[in-house]
Amino acid sequence: MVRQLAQLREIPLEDVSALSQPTLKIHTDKDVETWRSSRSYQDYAIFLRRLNESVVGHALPATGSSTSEAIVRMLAMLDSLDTWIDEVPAQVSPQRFGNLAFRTWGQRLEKESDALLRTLLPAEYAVVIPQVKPYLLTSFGSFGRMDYGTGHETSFALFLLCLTLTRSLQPVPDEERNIVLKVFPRYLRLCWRLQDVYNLEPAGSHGVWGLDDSSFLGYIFGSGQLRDQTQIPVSAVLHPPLPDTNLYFLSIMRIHQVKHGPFHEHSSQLHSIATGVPNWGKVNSGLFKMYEAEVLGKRVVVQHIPLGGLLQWDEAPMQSEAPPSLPSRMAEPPSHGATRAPWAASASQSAGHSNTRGTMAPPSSTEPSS
Amino acid sequence: MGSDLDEQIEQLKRCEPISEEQVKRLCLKAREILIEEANVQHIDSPVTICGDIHGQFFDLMELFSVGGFCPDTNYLFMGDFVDRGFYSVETFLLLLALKVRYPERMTLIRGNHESRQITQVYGFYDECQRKYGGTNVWRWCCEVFDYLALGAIVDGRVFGVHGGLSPNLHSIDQIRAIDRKQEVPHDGPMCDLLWSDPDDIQGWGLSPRGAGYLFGGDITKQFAHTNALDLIARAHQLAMEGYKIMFERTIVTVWSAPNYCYRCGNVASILELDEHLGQEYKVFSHAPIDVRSVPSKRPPADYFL
Repeated sequence: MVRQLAQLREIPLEDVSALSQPTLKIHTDKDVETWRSSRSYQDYAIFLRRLNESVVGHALPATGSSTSEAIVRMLAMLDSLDTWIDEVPAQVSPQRFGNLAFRTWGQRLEKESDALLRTLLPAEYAVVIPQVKPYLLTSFGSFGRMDYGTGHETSFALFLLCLTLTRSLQPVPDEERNIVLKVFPRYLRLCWRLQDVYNLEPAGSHGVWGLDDSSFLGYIFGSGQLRDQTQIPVSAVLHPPLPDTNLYFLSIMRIHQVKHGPFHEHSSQLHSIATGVPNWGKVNSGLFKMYEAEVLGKRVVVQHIPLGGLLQWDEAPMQSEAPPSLPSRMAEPPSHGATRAPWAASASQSAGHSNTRGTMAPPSSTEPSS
Repeated sequence: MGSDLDEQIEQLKRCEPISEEQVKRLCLKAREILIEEANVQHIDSPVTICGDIHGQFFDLMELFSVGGFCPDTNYLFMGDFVDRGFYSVETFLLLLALKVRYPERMTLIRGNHESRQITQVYGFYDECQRKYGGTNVWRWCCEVFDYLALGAIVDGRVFGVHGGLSPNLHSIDQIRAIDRKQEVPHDGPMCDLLWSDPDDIQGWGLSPRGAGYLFGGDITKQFAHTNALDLIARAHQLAMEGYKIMFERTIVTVWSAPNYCYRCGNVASILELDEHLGQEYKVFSHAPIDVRSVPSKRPPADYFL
């Protein structure tokens, strides 16, 4: 089945200098509604749909397609951030669960981010650097709270979106597939190592009732990879060890590495999906709806996302080819550690009962096209 | 209600939830008892002091096997019964049923998670919906939360509180002036008691949690001195060894959720105070996996229809 995918618009470099700096725009539940009808939300929806479609039927590790210079540089940047962990070892006898050395790592990121971005991007992209820096700085966790969650993961995805809007990365299937199958797994491994070495807490949490303590997109992309095949049933995840062939299995094996106890208890949502959802198409479309409602629709998560620059805050124009809005009802949770006050401006991620209308829900025919 | 209640306690000890109607009656009865309690409830030694449980039902059973079952042992639980774990419903209802059955042997004080707003973020709300198919049980439990005491004092010399101190409170008498029967406020003394943490600083500091304060050894010692306390016992923070003593033994963190969130690899503890207020910490590990219940078939969330 051939899907008509919406194109991701381009923001020409010459327009970038006129854009205002992204700032925190989301303070109330009403602002969340505004965000969900904004241009940037629509861009992000298109971006994720395209990434998802690019990997359907493609296994890990990524093979074949050539890798662009932009992807190679992105991987090199993530590699160097990883080596910083060796250079900033965890402190012995930490005062609390989270290790204060993570703040040192974070200070280094803040200090060197301009240089990192200058290495990452071609010279003519200098104007883009102040626009994308806020997203890079919030991609690896909160240095104050020493936690990590789906909001930080979303920041990284938005960082990639900004680079694609300005065509540092190209919105074509080969490149999109490399973003999902090369860049994203490298990002995940870096974040996992940060979580392990510095004992980062999950930023917010519905406890065992969330999809995963800290991550969401790996499940979306992984179910996308598996969507159009039937040899591997959804219930396969109940029988670890699982091969590293897709991001869904990779994410499940990460849970088994860090959690001890019955899977149906500590990962009740994933267990319900494995036992109750008939095919990967339904898993993939359901996860899109859940991501919209439980991550993008939660003020406590998205209030940390700066908006208003490349990610435009104004309302999206009506778009005929925009995917249909499907209401995703029902509050059903993602992602624990020391509890944050959800009303605090410095809190990070999770519930409230937000609603619902969205543009990210996929076309309804997502069953395997057999 | 006596024998009914004993049956409910037996049922809950098997980790089987009681009916919605039974929850309603239990919550009403609990409110009648709690409303009579002081903001700072007086307890006589000997007593066993416990920290966060967070819905880890089978680990609570480990705690009881280490500490003795109620009413044979007199207990003070310092809040955070719910959220995060898989069995918040069974955990809170068992503790509440024990409270109603043995009010003099079971003291429950409020943690920052005993709140409408927090339970909607950290799992208890979701759990009630999943297990009862609606929000009634969550609502009734939240009404009980509003009546829980804010602290307890053992023999006038050991102060138990979930989080810690407040810059607005210098004496335990000032706590008695709070109108506690409400949702936990976002700031102010009641909030601070449930949210603050001791830290290696001087004076007061901003809390990274976004609620409550950090307070130093000087503050802690001053409060203990002013109120003629031997010890402040609090919970609220994971202690990898199950407990953590700070500031020349003026304050201790007691943590009672082993292998917190299935992942932290920590042990848990309870603090036994004998009739002379002698302190003994008993450390325990998480329940063996095979004692846990089998998965019940729960349909996936509506997103996947």
